Amino acid sequence: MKKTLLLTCLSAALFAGNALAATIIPVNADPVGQGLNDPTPLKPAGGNPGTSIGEQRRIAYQFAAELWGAVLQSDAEIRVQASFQPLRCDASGTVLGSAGAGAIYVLTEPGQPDTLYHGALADSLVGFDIQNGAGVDVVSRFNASFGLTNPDGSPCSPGSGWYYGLDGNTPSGQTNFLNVVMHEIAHGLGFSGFGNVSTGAPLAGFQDIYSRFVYDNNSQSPWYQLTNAGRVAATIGGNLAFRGPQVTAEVPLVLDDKVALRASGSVVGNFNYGTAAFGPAASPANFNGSVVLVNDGSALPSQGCAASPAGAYAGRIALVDRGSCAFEIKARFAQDAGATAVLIANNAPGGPPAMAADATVEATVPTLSVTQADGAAIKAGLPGVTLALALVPGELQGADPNGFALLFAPNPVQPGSSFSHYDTSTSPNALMEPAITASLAANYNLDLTPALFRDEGWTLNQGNAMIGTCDTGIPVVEEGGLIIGANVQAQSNICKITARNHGAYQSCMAQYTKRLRSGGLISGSEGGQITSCASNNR
Amino acid sequence: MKPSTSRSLLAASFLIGAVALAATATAQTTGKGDNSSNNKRDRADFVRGNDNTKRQRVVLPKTEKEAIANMRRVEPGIIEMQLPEDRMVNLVPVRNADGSMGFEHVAEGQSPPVKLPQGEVK
Repeated sequence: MKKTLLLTCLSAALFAGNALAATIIPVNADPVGQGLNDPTPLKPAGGNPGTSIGEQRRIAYQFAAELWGAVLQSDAEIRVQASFQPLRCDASGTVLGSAGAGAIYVLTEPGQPDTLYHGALADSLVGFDIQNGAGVDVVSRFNASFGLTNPDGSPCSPGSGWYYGLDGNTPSGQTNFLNVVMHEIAHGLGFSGFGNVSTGAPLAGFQDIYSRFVYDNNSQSPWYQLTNAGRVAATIGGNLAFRGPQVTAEVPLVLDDKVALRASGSVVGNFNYGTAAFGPAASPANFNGSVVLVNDGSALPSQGCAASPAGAYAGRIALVDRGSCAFEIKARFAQDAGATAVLIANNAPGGPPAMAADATVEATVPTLSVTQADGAAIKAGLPGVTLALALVPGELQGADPNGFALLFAPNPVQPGSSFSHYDTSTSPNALMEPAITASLAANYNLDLTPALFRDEGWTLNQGNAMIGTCDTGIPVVEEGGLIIGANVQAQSNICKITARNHGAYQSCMAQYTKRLRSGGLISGSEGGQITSCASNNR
Repeated sequence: MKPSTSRSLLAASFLIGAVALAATATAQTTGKGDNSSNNKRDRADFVRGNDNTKRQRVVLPKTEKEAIANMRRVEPGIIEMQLPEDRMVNLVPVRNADGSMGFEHVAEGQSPPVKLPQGEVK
């Protein structure tokens, strides 16, 4: 989130009213001794006080339920099925989990075609639990073997595993379970279309509420004005936007200014780029200059996997084709020949690749990547092409030029991933991108996801976090998706559940408040109010 | 089991547009706060692994065809169905360029994308 937004949110805390919340009830669907009921001892960590694997899983899941429950309002209980199962984990890949809506409903609205709603949203809109206590609104499953062993005794993704902490401080190599649960519950609550992305056909012939807001920029058409064939084309067109009014209003609050790789000279245009895990971060100051195509004299000269003559690229940006050796090796060879920066062109369709480091060398020049098509365009203009990182005036990273949030629409289509996520170009990284990164902190920030829920008809909690009957003065959720208040409420409930007595509860809250203060997430007076509220919450 | 009459009236109010679907919906006055004794009991029960929070797993229809076959009208203007399994999404871990772990989605029954080890460039 932008720092300016964070400051605005802190000051806005003074003016918000009290809050009411939805109740999200996790349903434990695991057998005795397994998954959520795994009795294997585990040391408390990251603010999760559980003492077994199962208990830490339940606490983390409950925490996620508390967060979403605080953010949303509904008169109907929202039941979320939670289970850990030994999902596929072998040489062909690891499935961490799966999720989606359980029951869904076709509702009739005046002036609209009959429309499919996610079950929890439908309940919220009609004001009661349509299933009347039966069934579940969201189904979520997670791999119990991840980082451990499969039922057959084989290792499952050794060296990795779930991190059950509630503090967002995920150790390197582990996956933050809370972020994953927040993401998956969101899919079940409303962040998903129901149509078939491979055929373009709506589910059972009905429109769905998510897709109602989707717009294809290529054909300049709303989703449901396209034919099935048109939707198939749009799904892989790389130019789908979500045009809900609330999301659109919050895009400028959340997204960074767009920075592109700008070409001038014999080629003119702005190119999207990928970044490297090695070398200094690229900036307008260190990534600019004329471009030269690498030629190392080998059988594949433009791949740059061999040394080039000394000074061959002196003071210039070396353009290298992907392939045959590691990214950092290419960068180092170009650097040794005098390049001040390196640009790697993809050798296959798809986006600009993210570039990993290589332990055998160290490159110290900034390195970026571009798509295969953009690389070809630059090559076609050589010599005479100059590149520089530059702001694109009036555009935001992850929005189209008209300011609408982009959705993930890669070519080829990725069923289960395409369409129902924000685009991967979104910056800062968003909770509902298809790949979740270590930079996310869904315990504090849901970025544009609550806004999308508002567009669909969810009512967000407009008040402050409550501890017992005490108003903390901290908004539960704010424009831009900051949920500090929801976190306060969730943490208080978890401390209350797990503390042996009131003194232990107060101690739990004191440690938590200190963490918020040191992270700059609350002011001193807000911290004092949390402490005061906690002391009276018997 | 059928919802109560008052609930049916609420549903009817939705259907005639009294409950707006607009994004600017106002706060509901009967939502559940965090202090309901029932809520507190429920959340503590789940964390403690108590039996009253456990249920058999809900099994979703495998395909759209199966889901459509089991659609039912539960109220005037409300049709219920279950989301087919083939519209669920799977999560697979991805090792990011910086070495940290993330994940991405693939469709039910689809192989996860081939993962490139650190430094791989093909």
